[in-house]
Amino acid sequence: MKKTLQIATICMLLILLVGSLVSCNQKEDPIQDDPNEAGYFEFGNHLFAVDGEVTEATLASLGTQTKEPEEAPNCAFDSQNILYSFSGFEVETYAKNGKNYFYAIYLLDDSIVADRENIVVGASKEAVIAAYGEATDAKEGSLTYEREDYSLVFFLRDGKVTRIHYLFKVQ
Amino acid sequence: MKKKWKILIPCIAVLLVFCLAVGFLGKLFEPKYVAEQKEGGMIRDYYKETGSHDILFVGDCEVYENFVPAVLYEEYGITSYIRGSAQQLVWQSYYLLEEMLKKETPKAVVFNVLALKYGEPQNEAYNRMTLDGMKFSLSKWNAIRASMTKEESFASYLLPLLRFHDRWKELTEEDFAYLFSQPTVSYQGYLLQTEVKGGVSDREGVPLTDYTLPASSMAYLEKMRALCEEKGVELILIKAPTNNWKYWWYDEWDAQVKDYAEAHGLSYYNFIPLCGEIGIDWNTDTYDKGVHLNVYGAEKLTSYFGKILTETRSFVDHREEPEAAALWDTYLENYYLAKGDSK
Repeated sequence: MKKTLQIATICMLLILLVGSLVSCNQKEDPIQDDPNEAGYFEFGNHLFAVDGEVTEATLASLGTQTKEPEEAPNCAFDSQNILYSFSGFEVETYAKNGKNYFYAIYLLDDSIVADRENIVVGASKEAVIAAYGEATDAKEGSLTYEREDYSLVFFLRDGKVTRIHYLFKVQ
Repeated sequence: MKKKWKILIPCIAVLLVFCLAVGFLGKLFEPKYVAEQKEGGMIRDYYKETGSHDILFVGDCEVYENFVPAVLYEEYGITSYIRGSAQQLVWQSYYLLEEMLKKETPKAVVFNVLALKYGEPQNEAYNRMTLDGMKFSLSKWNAIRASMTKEESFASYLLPLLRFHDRWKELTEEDFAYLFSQPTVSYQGYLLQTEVKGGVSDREGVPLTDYTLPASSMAYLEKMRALCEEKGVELILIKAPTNNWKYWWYDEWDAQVKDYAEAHGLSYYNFIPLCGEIGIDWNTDTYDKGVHLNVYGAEKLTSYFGKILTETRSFVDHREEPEAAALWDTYLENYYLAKGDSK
């Protein structure tokens, strides 16, 4: 009886250990099911962790860069924001502790679908509202949707989307 | 009675030793900003300055990287000091100015307007670079209260040990060498940069959803203006030249500053459209791709600004005053020595 209990306890501990390791791994890797889960964002058929490091591999997964990255050094610190240009969109990163993280993504034309709501540059204001609901902040020239980790901003002119910005809440 | 003292004296002694230890360790552990991140040492430099000044500059990196007091003196006989720090927010400029105007009354105060875009506290690291260098005063007290981010505590500014206790593992020789006294890191508030890193792009700043300058920052600008008026000091607004997509000065912001200046009879000089006239070459006159000018660009801008100042206002030429000239000749010598010129 005692031995059975010991084996059962060890099994339970192993299950808990494996379970916690799996959940840790899930936090690091892009998830596939819920793009609205805190800590993640969906962009161009990919899910990214908001606080995930932007590596060469991350950038490669976004496509081919169309021009040299542009740097903007920070005052007093040996770090910089970098702007990477791709066809139809740009990714801006910021540096923290020697690593790069998402600062913003700017969609410039309709060549890329940002997320599963299928709103692209050129869509109507009504289509944005139908897809995302009432904006957190609605201005004449923009609709802003606040997420836990970032803001999604639709710039409008003559009732049409002209740009889409992902602005991450930098820690 | 004697018994009472027998208990009290050791208690007071222990308390005293404890306070001294906390003070000493706080001093030891706080960053010294001498060899690295000199930007954090510039605010305290002012306390070593002797003599008064015709012009006081306040503001962010766009003042301490772009104007050279030594050149303003050499070419025009104007004495000046830059009380700038990295990402100095408007309320910090105000309280620094308040502190300085208790000590001296310049002819004019020059404020760089970029910081007006920030309506809220931004970043602890930058806060520290401005606030830790201030001597304790009501101005510092108020500056801390206005500047703290949600994650910061007021007590940690009064007792640096609370904030920097974990620096014990990073202590270097510098921390011991400059424990009680730090050398000046700037040249009358100017931070010398001789590197050349041009290659600016034609990219403009990204569009914003709202171009209204925050009411809170405009309120501090108004406080600064009222303070200057009360002291009989002219407030001059400037926007230093920049040419980088990240540090963009939007036309909409410019219009608001222009309107404010006009409404209050202030001079406002936006040097961005004047770069050609000033002679700034963005390939050679910047050390960080158009974010700031290097010394070669800063000398050109200072020369240009000095011309405006002397053509539109009257200044005493301090080069003709033996005492001031002796002091400023030393400053000039130090500046050119550091720059590497043989003047």
